[in-house]
Amino acid sequence: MEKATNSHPLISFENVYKTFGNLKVLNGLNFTVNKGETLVIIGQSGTGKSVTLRCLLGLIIPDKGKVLFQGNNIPDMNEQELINLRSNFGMLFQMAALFDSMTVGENVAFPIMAKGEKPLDETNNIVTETLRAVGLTGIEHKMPAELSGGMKKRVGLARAVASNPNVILYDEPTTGLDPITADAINELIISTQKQMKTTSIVVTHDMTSAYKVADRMIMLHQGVVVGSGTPDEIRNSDDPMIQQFINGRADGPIEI
Amino acid sequence: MNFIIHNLNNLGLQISDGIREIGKVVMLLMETIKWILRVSPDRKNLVKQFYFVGVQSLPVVLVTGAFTGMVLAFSTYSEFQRLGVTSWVGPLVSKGLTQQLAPTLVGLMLAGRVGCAMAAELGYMAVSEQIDALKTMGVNPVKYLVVPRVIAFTAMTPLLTAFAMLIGIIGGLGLAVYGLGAESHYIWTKTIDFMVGFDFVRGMIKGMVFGLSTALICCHKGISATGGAEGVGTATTKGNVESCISILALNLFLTIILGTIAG
Repeated sequence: MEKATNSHPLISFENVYKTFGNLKVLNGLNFTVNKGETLVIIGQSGTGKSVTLRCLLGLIIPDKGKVLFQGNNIPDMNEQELINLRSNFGMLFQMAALFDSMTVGENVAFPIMAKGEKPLDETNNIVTETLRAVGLTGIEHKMPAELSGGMKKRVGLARAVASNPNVILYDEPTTGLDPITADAINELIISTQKQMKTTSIVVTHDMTSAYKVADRMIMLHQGVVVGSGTPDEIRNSDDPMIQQFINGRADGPIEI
Repeated sequence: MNFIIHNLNNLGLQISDGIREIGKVVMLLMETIKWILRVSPDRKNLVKQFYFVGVQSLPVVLVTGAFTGMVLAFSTYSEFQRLGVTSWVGPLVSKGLTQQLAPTLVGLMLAGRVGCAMAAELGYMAVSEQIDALKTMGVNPVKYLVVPRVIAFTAMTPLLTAFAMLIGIIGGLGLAVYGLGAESHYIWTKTIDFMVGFDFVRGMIKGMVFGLSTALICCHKGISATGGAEGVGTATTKGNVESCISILALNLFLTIILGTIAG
């Protein structure tokens, strides 16, 4: 099931280090993501999963190492190059990060309007169509405060895909949701990937979600990759650290 | 000895932190100017900020101006009456309001009403990842969030200061004439004799600088907030305190500079 690693991965982390104060978050991180695959990153809280996504967007600059997108090193990019880079990405934030002062429709339209490439009529059509695709019709005029957690995540997903990005990043997409809503989000991630042929990186603690959406998985611990493989390979791994994490046991080599 | 060294060390750290913060605010000013020169701000956002800073602050500014003028007139009238120069209440109230009290008090009121709201709003956006979301969509947060707020604050504060001056003079002189029994003819004549156009301009220049400094400090505190609800609270408190201190400190420098210009 694991896709062949070609010589030119779309995204590549090469020996990346990042420290905040005395806290080493990334400690020589290495992994690649191929075009069109869905990579799931699992690991304990504080192991650098969200920092990894932020490094990829140029929101955090690593202390050392390379973060390559299409062969270009993101930490070396200037402001304009970063803006151009980010137009390739859509991101679903952990708490959805919808703009409180805007309606749902304005939120979903925002990334399209920010690019300024499409007329208003076409933008409105995309907003309606994207909201319909995530199972939310007729809520364009609602404010984010009027939505439930699951609806916010779905609107966040609609906003992430509205501008038709090449890569979608999901930061804990099912955290805090009931199992049924979480599964609906998983289905949306899979259908989005199939329809739009995007490359996806999903950061999650939710193993049910991870097994369901992943083409390939990596596990981070103390800022490095300690395991990688297909969902089946991870599930059947004999690495005690991976087994402790995927089975959610407090006792084991990973100390709390 | 260790106690003294420890305290000196803390003092040094606080001073270096303060200088660093001033540097960050100056950097934000430079970036704001860069964006103002490069692209016109989003009109809808700008109008919203003008309404919030200007129109919605008008009642509190008018009340501040009116009561300050009346208190100034009331507290000085009896002294001037003893000296037999009650008409001097007019110039004193007018000069006091235009040169010092109106710009300073309006600046402090706006730092509380508008500055805190800006720091809290932007702070919440920062801790709830909304600012990261903006960046992800290729939108610069300074251009989109800071520029309209700085323009609105800097443009509306001098106008609100002018309203406070006028209502304060009307209130103060009105109280002196109709409440305390001063001769209206003499009080108005004396006021007109002593007031010059630059008095109003001086107050409005101060208002503009206070508005600019408050907007920059509060926006800086907001967009750099971290750490959840506590971080938003800290950003709001620091934004307000540092804005108020900057207003009081800048007032001294502006009084000296503008006083020198006026001769």
